[in-house]
Amino acid sequence: MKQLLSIEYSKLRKLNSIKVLLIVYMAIIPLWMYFMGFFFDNNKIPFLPDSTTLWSFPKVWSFTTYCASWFNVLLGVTVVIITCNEITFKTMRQNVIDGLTKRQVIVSKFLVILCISAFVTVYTGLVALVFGAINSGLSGMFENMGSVLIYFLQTLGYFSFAFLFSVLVRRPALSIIFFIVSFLVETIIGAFLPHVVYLFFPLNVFSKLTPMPFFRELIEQAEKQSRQTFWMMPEWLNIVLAFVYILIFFTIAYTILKKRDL
Amino acid sequence: MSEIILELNNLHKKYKDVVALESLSFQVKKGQIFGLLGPNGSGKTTTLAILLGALNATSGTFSWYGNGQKDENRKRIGALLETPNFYPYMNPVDNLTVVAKIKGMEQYDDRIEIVLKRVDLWDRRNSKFRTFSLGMKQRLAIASAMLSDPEVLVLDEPTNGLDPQGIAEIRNLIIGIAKEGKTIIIASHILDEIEKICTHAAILRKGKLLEIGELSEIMTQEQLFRIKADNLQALQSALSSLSGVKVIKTTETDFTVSLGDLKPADLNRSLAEKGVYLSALTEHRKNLETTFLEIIEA
Repeated sequence: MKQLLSIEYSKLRKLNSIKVLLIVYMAIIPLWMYFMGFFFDNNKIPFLPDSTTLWSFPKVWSFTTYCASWFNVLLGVTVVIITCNEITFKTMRQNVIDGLTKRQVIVSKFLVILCISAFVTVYTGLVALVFGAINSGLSGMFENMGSVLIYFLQTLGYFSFAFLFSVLVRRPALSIIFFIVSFLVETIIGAFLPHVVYLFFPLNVFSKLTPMPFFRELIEQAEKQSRQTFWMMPEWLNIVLAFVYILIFFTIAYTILKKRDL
Repeated sequence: MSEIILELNNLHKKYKDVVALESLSFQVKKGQIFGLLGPNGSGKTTTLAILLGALNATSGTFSWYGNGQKDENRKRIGALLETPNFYPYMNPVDNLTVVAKIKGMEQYDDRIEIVLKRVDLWDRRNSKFRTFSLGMKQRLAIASAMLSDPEVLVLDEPTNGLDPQGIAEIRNLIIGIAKEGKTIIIASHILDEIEKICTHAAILRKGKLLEIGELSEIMTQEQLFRIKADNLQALQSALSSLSGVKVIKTTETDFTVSLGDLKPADLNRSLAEKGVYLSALTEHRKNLETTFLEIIEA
């Protein structure tokens, strides 16, 4: 496994597009948080508590991951690039010829994806930690910290989807377009279906892992006001579903690659 | 009996509706330079791709080093299959580093320098692969195959895209490697290449093995001679009266004949006795191309 990671590192070290995408992601998150904070402040959404709570522990964890989740598509693109490159350059085939097993080649890609997920999760967590510490000190910092782990799951979800797409489509440009369009397609299909059904769609499941802060509180308030009840997926079910989808996507991708002639 | 390096047993490969390989069996022994010949689409690359794990055989087995089809075996093989496949955004040193890590090499910096110098790419070590010409790419692929100093080299059309000078260099490189006692399996449709390099050959057509053996065996045939005389008509009639001599080919200036049991000197004497004096008598070796075409078309 150490060998596989070392091989992957040698490949990615000089891949500038990935570096650029990661740097853009890292730079944009704090900026986007300022923008969202500004947005919440100036569009007084009813029942939304004072925006300073967003910047303080414990809410800062979910505020940061919510803001970061907007840019997961960007990271999905890195996964598409990494995967499609190996297919179009025929280096996946060459790696096997040179001595790796097909399984090792595929597992290497899983490992890279895990590493990218871990990297962006740690970075996003650090951003939350810094903002939280500046605005509220360290008291209560452990509460709600699980949002960061859920964010990890979310990135993994989008990446597994991107990975599957790359394996199916094989061409980088086309895969990126399909990957982005699939979000729109799912939303459009979802609009025609009962809301409850739409809640079970994979991309929606992933996206609901990092809901808008106070989203649940908002809905509860709305229920009280309108005397209607809205079915909300319990968080645990959402997490389980995300796990299941990730497993399914990776398994399909694995099976296709394993069976396909290189 | 020398050690068997590679053994194929009844290898079959079927694509949707095309049979690419049909019950292919042969052996390659240590130290051989084994040529795999055949026209385009005869199954050469398919065979090598299966042997190198890039394709799955429909049925049949093969074994490297008497060690079965283990993936591990490929780490002891240097291979170039079809096109040179490298990361275009990386320079040759970084590309070979990836290969070295896959091969499980621990010290590789010196070795990378050695092979890059050997294929004359050391001066371009800082250029990205994508800036390389086809010939340079091909040379890098050969360097990559030699990187781990493997016991066996598998080369698929190694001189593809090279200029005549490059072809000669690669040929000398291969002969040099062979002299070190390595086994080389080389596929090519450029017969001149095989003829100049190989000790053994197998000829494929439409996925079937037509001929296999030592190159000299495959090329064993009646010896042919090209003869000339000032008076060709007299020569022709004199030849027709000699038993055992067959005229294979007639041109406006000379005849190509097979002598049967006669020696060239006998022919010369017999003709002189008939008053026909040869102005030229040269041995005419059929080249591999002619033999190959005969076998393929038979």
